[in-house]
Amino acid sequence: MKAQNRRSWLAGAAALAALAAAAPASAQEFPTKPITMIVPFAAGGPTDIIARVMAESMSRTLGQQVIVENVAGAGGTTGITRAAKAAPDGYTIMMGHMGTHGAAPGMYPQLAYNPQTDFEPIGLAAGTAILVVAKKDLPPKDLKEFVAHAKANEAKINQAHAGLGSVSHITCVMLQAEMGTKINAIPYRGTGPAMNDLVAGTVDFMCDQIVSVAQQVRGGTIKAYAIASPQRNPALPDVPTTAEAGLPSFQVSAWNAVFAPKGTPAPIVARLSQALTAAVTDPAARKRLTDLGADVPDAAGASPAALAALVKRENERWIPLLKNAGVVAN
Amino acid sequence: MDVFANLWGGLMVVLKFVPVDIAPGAASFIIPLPVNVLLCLMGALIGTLIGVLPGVGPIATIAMLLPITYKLDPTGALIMLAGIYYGAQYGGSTTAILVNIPGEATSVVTTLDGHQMAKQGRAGAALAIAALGSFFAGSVATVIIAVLGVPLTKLALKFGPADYFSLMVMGLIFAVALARGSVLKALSMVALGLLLSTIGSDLESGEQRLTFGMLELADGIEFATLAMGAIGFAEIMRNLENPETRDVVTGKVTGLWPTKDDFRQSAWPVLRGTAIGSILGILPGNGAVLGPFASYTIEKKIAKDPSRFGRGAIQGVAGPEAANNAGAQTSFIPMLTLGIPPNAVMAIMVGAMTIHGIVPGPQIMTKQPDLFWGMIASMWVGNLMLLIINLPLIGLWVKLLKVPYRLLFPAILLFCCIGVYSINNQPFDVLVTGAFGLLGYFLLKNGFEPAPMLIAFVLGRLMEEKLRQAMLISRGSMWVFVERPLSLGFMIIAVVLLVFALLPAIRSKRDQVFTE
Amino acid sequence: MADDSEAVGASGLIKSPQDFVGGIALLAIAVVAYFSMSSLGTMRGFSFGAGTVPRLFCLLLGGLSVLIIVSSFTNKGPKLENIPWRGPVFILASVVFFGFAIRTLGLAITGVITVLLSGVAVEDFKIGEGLIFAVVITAFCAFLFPFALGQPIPLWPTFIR
Repeated sequence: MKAQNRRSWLAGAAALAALAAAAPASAQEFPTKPITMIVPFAAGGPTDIIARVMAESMSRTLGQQVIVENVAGAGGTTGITRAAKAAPDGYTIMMGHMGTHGAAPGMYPQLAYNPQTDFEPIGLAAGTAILVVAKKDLPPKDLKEFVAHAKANEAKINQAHAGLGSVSHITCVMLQAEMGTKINAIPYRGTGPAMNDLVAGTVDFMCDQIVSVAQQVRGGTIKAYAIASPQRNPALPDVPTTAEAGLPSFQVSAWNAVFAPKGTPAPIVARLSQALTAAVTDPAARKRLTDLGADVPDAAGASPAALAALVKRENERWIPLLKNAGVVAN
Repeated sequence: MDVFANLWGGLMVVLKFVPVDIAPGAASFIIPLPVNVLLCLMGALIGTLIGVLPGVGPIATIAMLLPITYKLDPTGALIMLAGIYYGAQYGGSTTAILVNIPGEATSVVTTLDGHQMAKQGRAGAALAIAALGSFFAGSVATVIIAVLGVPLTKLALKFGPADYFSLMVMGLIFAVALARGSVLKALSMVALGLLLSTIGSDLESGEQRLTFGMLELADGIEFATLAMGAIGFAEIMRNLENPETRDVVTGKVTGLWPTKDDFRQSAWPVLRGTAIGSILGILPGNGAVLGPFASYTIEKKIAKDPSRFGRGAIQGVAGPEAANNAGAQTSFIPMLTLGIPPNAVMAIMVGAMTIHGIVPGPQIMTKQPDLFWGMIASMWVGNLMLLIINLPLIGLWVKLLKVPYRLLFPAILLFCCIGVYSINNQPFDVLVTGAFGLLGYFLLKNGFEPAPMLIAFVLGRLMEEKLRQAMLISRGSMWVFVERPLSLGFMIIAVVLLVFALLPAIRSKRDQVFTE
Repeated sequence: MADDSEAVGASGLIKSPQDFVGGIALLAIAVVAYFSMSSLGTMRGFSFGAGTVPRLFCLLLGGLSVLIIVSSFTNKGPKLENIPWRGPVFILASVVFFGFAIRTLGLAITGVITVLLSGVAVEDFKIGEGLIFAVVITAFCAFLFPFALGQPIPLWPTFIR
């Protein structure tokens, strides 16, 4: 409880200090009070875990608590919409991800923000690779056989996903586009129930992040056909990459990145970016995330410019893909 | 037996003394402390506190305490977080009994008879029976997890979407039994609860349903807003009607401890509740919520005088409370043995474990036996602590009821508002709660009871989800619901229960016709 | 509670006024809900549309409420209770105030006003006692929620934060 008390004291003290000085805090002093990091998903999921590990390390660099606030809903767009409208003073930042900043414009016609113009990119935090996994007694032995099996049994097999707009949903849309299939998709509310039915064999396959599936694969309750990343992952060294397994065009990573609302002053963005860079290069935080199978960028990869380029690239990739597939959330 | 050796080992993990530097920095002063026991106690205390506060749930608290656990070793951290979870179950019953405010689905049932008992001056007996029943159920469930965890997991995996749907249908029929009055009106409340559960974005297409353009409703309404509004606020409005009777305890407070008769009447309900709760708790997809409802229904059906239910029958507190705690405990099974969280609290427990570098999965039992068995043993220790914390508190709680109502209710109201706000940090939720308060008051004034609506609300969303999944998988064939033996079994029970529920109504109607 | 009351409803056509009023209200809810869903998807082959299940629930609620209305003509029941408006009005007012004010005014001010406003719901409200109690209970909440439990609830108004 101690840390909580301290930051609350500081919040009060900072409020009083601000009142006394009656002058806006300059960038040198930033931050003078705790920073809120909005995570647009429920606590406990992959993005939340990455955000919490980053927030802990950034708190140490900034000398102020970075508090994670979960605002879940509508595939993450609820939280991001709220964060985008927050005061651009650096005290509200957010953990956006592949869905909210890459794919959302392709799915939500009434999206209240533009990922490329409504934010100040701070930097990439970590990505988690996507795996194609199936129930353990599905006949195909490798990815090539699986693709053939999927095409031959298009009308018979079922694919599970964790809900409209979830990573497992849109990555499977991408996989199906690559395979040229239209397989029945069964929606679940979250990865847990979907995984339950995959382990039980009620559904045949799904795509999801390595963090969510690695233990089941290792435990032999489900099997993994391929990992959609350029290299094999040390967390699951036996799983071949999609390139090795014969579907090289299926490359996707669920990236998570920190953004600030548009208009946040450049010196503050620089300060936050510096703290994020320190976090991704912090050996303890790095180890924590890589142990889970996440890919943590180097200092260059975590720069604001790299993130801006990534968002642009991802928009160009996802928007047409989702529009063609007819995935629309009103 | 092997299992008991393991449990013993787990108990040793919990009771282990670890040398701790209690004055870090200046002068090192190292003494051995039972760190895990202390963490367990801390978790139980925090859990009780947040459980008592309406609206503040274990999810938000665990999320908030996560950063603090980084410095702990994983076993200790998880023992504390688990303590928060089942501590919150104890605390939730306290609020339900004392002020008729259910914070979550499982304590809705406790309000029915528990609060009536409080009004009759028997809050002490209700709280004590709830605590003792929960402790018994928790102890039994701990052994069940240890002995039957793995085989039960296999059973849980047999539940496909179709079976789940049928189980929910059966649950709805249980909901009808929660009402005291007309079956027809109870059924209409079930329908209203089902309709309310469909508010929000469609799972499959994302279309907005019944949101009337309000973005805040896109993810549906929170259970707590409905429960606190329709039961809690409505009760306050009703209490204010009559200045003479508005104090919670209008009569005399008759003792803090259950009588011999109370114990005798509660023994079997506790046993039955424990069994029911334990079984339902292991089901994926939050089967634990059904436990208290099922227990209440059964107690009411087999009671010699069912009309006492809803008027302060101690069986209506003892059984459901035992079922609730047993279910809370056994819902750890799918997470510990499969790595699949059955509800939102377990999902965040998985998150917590993940942050500590342990991803729960099928191998956790063999790879980390200390953690696995330590956690299971800590559940029993935690339950014992909760009993020790809660029994002395009863006197304090009962005193609280003597605060004049004109002071008590504004405080309750403020606590509720803050609690509801803190669920999503969404002021809109507070307004929704107010609206449901008005609805609940209207229903109460016209003899419609809100409890069936609440259970239907909880089940409705899952029901639609499972129905649609089942239909997608079966390619539209309705036969799945009777082809699968589990599903067929639940359907048959549901039909039989419904007939039994309707029979007296039909008979009484006939009597009325004859008397006229 | 309805079945506690021995008073039997109005003479005339409607034998159970409570059932009648309740039934009409539920029917109204069902009808409004049904028509608000006109744009929602329907069944596509074996796949349910967004509106399929909610429509079924609407029909269920509508059907049951019609049965309740019909039965209110034959079954005797208690008569309507009068509604003392003071309680519900001030309770609602305080809750609505809380909802609108918490973000801008913060807990310190919102809490005091919410407690005071709801306190007016009883006839024997005393301003002195109420004010002291409001300040005490708000201070307690301010300690408990943002401070001890670390909930992200604004404590002070935006203009001095």
